[in-house]
Amino acid sequence: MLEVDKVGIHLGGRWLLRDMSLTLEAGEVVGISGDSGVGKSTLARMLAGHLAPDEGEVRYGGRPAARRGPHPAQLVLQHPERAVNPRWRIRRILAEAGAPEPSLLEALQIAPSWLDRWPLELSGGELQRVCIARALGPATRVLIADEMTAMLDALTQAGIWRAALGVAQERGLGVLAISHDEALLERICTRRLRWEELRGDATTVMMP
Amino acid sequence: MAIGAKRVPAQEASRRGASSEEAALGAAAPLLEIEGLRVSFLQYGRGLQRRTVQALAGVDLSVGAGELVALVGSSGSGKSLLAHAVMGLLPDNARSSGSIRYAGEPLDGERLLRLRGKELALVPQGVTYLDPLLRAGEQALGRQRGPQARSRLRAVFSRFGLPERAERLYPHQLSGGMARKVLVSAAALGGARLVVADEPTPGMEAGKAAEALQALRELADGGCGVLLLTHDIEAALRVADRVAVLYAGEAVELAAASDFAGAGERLRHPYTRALWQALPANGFRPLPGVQPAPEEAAASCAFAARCGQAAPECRAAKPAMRVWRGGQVRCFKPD
Ligand code: SF4
Repeated sequence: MLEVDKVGIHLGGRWLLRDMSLTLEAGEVVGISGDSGVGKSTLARMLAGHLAPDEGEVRYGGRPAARRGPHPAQLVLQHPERAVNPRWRIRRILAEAGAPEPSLLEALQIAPSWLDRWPLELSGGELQRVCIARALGPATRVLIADEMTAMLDALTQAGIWRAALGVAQERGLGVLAISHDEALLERICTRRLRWEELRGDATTVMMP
Repeated sequence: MAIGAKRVPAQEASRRGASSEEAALGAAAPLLEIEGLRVSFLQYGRGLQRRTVQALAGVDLSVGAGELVALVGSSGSGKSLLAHAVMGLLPDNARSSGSIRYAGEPLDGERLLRLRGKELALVPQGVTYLDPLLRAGEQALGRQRGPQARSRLRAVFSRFGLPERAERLYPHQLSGGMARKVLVSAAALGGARLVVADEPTPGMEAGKAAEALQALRELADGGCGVLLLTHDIEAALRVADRVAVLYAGEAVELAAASDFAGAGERLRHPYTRALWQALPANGFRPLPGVQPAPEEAAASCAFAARCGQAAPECRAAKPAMRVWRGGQVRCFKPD
């Protein structure tokens, strides 16, 4: 599903990350924890195609992402209000990933009445559901959640993760969850990796 | 939810010398007493539209000397406004009512100005409050100078686990956790008796966040009253003696930290219990619906729309905060 093969990214003569490898199978929920500032978010952005690796390769279903069309890995970040255009209504925000399936909106508990609202008129948790729906277009194979619920209260967090994992399971998506919250990762993941374990050869991190 | 570790066991609360009952009701002569605090502000919308937004709609709590009380509320619930209300630092477009007393006397005007920055200290949210041009040691000392002040600084830094070299570092060279400790050190060196700490930035790595919180615990153990405002209930429970829970701008429960245990049997408010059971380490159980804006729930229980025990009376009137099983709760039918 997702193979990260010894990738590296440098910026201004310095390697932000290097020699990172990771494999994610369909249906897996892999959690990555580690110190802040080590490059977890850089990796997340690279896997979602926002940054190109300077060395190594990322393969989705055996080949690199196509240059055109929606990217197979979609990223959801901590601050939904920064991830949407505040001047667009929710309907238009969702349409960025093609017209959403009604069943997807239902699974994520997105009420039809939200579609005509502005982002400012939704709570942080509601807007995050919209961002997740946008990330779960029909072409998506991998969902990357970078501190996706760090700003939300525990009740909202539990609701959002249950909904997102439900869709991922049904469609056989891979999920990569990056979080500083050990208890959360322990709860949602089928496999956990420490940041240090990503360094080195891909085969050594493929733990059972 | 910054902290992955387990919650505070009951014996830890008693280590601090308080039974669950005393702990939940608070000290007899509190340092800080907040009663019926309401804060609203004018918000400017598109064009010339203006509306009044109620942010806090009734907060009651107290903090005693040597005690750490956590006010837990979700992001955007007005916790920072509470800190600013206590410190008299509300923005010009904000209005507040209710009573805030410090050491038995109203905290306002002249007296507030005299105490602020000395007996009363604010540990703000972000590192951005540090002066970028001052070394950490100078920040913490404020206007104090001389060899005596220096040795006090050294003692305080080491008490909060800051290395000696930290004194000479500039803010941009400090990690988030160290910066928090510098701010706490500044409060201690300034002779603070009451410290209001706004939550450390979410996303601070678990270990660092825990260390910074430990510095606040140390402050309380040294006799200071500490009010910690946070969205992270697990983090709060690691250091707090008591917890006040905020919902839709109202304090709905005041509990001892040790009441948060098991399935939440000792908790009093249905919301507090739901929150506890939603933690990843507990049931991870969601609850449909969202917190209403305080003005939407002005004449009813703010939790009525999501409460499994709601009765008609809950939608017809607003419950008042009342003493219940050694704590306080805002509910018509508390458990
Ligand atoms: S007052 Fe009624 S609706 Fe509100 S929390 Fe209590 S039982 Fe539930």
